Amino acid sequence: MSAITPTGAYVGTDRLGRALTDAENRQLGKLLRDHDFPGASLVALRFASRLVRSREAARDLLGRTNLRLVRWGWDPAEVPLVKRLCRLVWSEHTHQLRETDAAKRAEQAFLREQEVTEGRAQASTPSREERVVRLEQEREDDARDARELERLRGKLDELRAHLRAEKDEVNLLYLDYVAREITDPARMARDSTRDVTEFYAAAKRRKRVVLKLLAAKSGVPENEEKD
Amino acid sequence: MAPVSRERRLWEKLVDEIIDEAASVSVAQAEADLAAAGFDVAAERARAEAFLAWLEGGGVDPK
Repeated sequence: MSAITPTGAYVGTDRLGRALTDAENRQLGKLLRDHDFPGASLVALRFASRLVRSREAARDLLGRTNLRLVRWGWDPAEVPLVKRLCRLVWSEHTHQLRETDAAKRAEQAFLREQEVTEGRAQASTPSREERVVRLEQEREDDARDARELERLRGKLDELRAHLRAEKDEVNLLYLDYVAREITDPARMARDSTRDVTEFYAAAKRRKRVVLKLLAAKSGVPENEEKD
Repeated sequence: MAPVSRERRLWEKLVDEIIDEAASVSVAQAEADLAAAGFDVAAERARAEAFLAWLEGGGVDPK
């Protein structure tokens, strides 16, 4: 399999299952240059800088995004380069947050295990505690979906609380409609007897609030000099 | 539809909006915003150029 398909898509090293040859590296370089990679990178860096707490973290996020692009590939016929990079920035960012969360859980599990081991060493107790730890881990596995639901509800509740505080009724309605799988602003306007332009105008406010919440999750202080 | 799927779909739609908006910014606007945030835009552009040069020079397996 060639890294660049006849239609001009770059396959990615994950799918290729191997490193790029020198010629393929050059082809990829040319493909990216043809699509103004430096310009797209600056747009992606701007997005990264709104998600993380420092300029250095934004650069790091973009660096990992570039490597992800090499691994996962890109089809110019499917999506513009700038959008591909921004999506990969988001993907890398959430991956990093999940890794941090997983590392915290692993650390807690390790500490629990350590407590059990040390307790048993001191008291020469049987492995009842070990069984409890195992059961706890199984319960944790079973609860993964519940946690995910909780996490998403937490985010959405936070968003709704913010919108309520701002008295942004149109965006509160928007969330309710989308949750009910109604995504057409015209239908939203009809059902709520509001003007459709109110729903279009609300989009800008909504995006600003969501981005602010996402940044807050990463510890980006609002209106504060980074670095 | 399961609650987790419904909540996920709603959240993903909101995130998609953010990504679409981020990607729709012009390069000139991105440069201005980055400069305002304290980035050295020329240096950041040079980093992107260096990545291209890295590829064009043969690169290495990123795995």
